[in-house]
Amino acid sequence: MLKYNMKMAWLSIRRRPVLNLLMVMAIGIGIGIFTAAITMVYQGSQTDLPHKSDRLFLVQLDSRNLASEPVDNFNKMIDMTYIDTVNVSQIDYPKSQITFGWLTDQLVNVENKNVMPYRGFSFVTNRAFFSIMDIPFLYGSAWSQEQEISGAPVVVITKARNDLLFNGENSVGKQIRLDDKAVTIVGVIDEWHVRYRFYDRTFMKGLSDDAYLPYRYALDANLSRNARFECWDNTSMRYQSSGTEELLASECGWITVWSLLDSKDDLAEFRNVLDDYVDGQRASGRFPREGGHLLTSLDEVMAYVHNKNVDYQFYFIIGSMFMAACIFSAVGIMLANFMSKTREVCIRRALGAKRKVLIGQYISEVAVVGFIGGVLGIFISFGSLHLMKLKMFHSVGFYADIADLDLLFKLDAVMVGTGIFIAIISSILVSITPILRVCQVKVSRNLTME
Amino acid sequence: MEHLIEIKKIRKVFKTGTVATNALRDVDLTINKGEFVSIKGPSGSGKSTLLNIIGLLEDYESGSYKLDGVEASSLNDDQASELRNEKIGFIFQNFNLIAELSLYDNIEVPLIYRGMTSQERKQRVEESLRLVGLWGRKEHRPDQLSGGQRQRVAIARALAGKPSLILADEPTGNLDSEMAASVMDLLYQINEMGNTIVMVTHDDELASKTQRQIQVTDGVVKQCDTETELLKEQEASYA
Ligand SMILES: Nc1ncnc2c1ncn2[C@@H]1O[C@H](COP(=O)(O)OP(=O)(O)OP(=O)(O)O)[C@@H](O)[C@H]1O
Ligand SMILES: [Mg+2]
Repeated sequence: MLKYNMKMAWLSIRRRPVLNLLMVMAIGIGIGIFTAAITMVYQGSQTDLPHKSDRLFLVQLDSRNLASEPVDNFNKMIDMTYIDTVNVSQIDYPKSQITFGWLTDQLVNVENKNVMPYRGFSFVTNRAFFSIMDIPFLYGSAWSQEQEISGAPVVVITKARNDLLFNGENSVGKQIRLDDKAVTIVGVIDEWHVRYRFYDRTFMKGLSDDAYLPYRYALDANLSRNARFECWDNTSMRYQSSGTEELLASECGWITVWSLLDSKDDLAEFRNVLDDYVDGQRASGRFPREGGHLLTSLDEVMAYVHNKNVDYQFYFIIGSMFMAACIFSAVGIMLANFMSKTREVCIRRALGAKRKVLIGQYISEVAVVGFIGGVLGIFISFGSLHLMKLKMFHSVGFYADIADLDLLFKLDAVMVGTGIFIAIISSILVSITPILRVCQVKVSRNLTME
Repeated sequence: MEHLIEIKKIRKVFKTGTVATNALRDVDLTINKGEFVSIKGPSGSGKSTLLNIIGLLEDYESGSYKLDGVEASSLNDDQASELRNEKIGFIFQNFNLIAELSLYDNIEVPLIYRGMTSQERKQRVEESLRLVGLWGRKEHRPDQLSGGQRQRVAIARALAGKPSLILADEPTGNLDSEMAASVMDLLYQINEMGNTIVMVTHDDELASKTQRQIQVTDGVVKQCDTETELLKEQEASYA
């Protein structure tokens, strides 16, 4: 019967091309916009590093003075001081790996005169960053422990920059210049993108780093620090490019610190470790306030960020309204379609079709129409997502890498399936009343008419 | 003789707005298995209505109709559909072919709903299309055929399911006399195989060749069972 129903569906669609085309368009456009909207909502509310986001913790220590406002949310808490960053990363607790960092920028140039110098944004960090963030390497590797400690002038660059500077060839061992300082490439990372820049707490979309620099070298060379400095009562901008020694000894919070625990069951133990550290510091006169540490998992951090994403609620509402409008017009189209089948229904009933068999036949027919509409919708959705991506790319500005936005606008198999499924279901829903109505007509009346 | 159709005191009224048409008035009619009966009467007298009631396509205001011993008014829509599918072949006055389907697909329709395998269906469709001489045009659609050819397709569809009762509404109405004769031959053949046929016709000559003629006038049925009865009537009118 299914085969027969499919054949009848095809013949009927061919017989009423305009009506069915209208229907396919209505469903296609509705589903297209809707799927694009829910894809953005769905992708935008995903958390990066999903397999470890429940055991990767933002570490914040509250070394502020007594006069400061009490806070319980990571977003209002200061970042870490250099003193605590170094101390915490040196605590002997093997179940936790620590990484941290801040942004810097320089004019990048190479010997090759064909490549124009450009302003490159680098993330200053430690070598654990690469393994904690699951960053794949194309050539070479992260800098060594010795290079990190000794402040060796080394750098890891991205694939995109390696393509630009060295035509994609293995550039390990070659040098690039950051402003007037030469650094040696030790590694080139492969494609690596996150939806939001969570690791420096900017949560920007579409902004990737050009390079990664070891923190000791960045401090020794006095590279710029694009961070927010919160120094108890005032915010000091001058630390961006000067006063390094003073900054390193200060109570200014400015470094984003992350801890990856082996298991989230280690959390209580890790809290004790941090409490012990804070107590020790209190003994030497720091940490005047009660409490001391704030640990927020990446899951919790992102839940907070996603919640603030009003854009997505807007997209969802627009998408749903579009869908509703298209479905509304589809009802009219399907009513016209099935009323034109009155005669056929009567003939089939007269020749022995039971009502539910006929209803099944027509539901199969609209499911086919819905499927075609769904496929069209997927194409429309694909196109609109691409446009939205371009729009965001241009609004992010010159420094954006469009590949960084791919994840946020990716129409994956789940979404394709969902889109087509909704297309089929909604075409059945809009047609069910016309179908039931036409299958209810009085058989004889329409058979005797000429 | 076994009764296939037993109609007692059937009344049918069509209401259109405020106008009520008495299409059938207290009709009594009994048809036996294996009979070939013709129904005659002027246009609008109720012939098609009577045929539709016999074919379980139409309900009625009062009276009783038993098809093969089953009271028609006791059947719900789907049961009536099933019974039609199994037992009755329709040749409609206006063919009622499905426009978007090929001849092949049109003839297949009742077989589909009977749940036959595609093998069986193909055999039946081919058999009946060959019978009416249109197998060569099986891929054509009804609107590519002449009126007479469409009539033959309608006949082929009615025969494909090998029903025991054939209800034919003017089956030769659109055919030239030669074609009409061959259709009649076909119906005789089918009748000889034991099938019951009820045929509406305007053509007195065709009607006279059937076993029994029924006259419908203004919704009233007059039985003209035998020639003697007809003669008696004639005599009466001269007296
Ligand atoms: N669905 C209907 N609604 C209203 N009136 C109807 C309907 N069907 C038939 N009638 C009326 O019932 C009467 C009988 O109609 P019917 O079709 O049975 O006549 P007929 O004898 O078959 O005529 P013809 O030889 O022209 O086919 C006519 O007056 C007709 O107008
Ligand atoms: Mg008629």
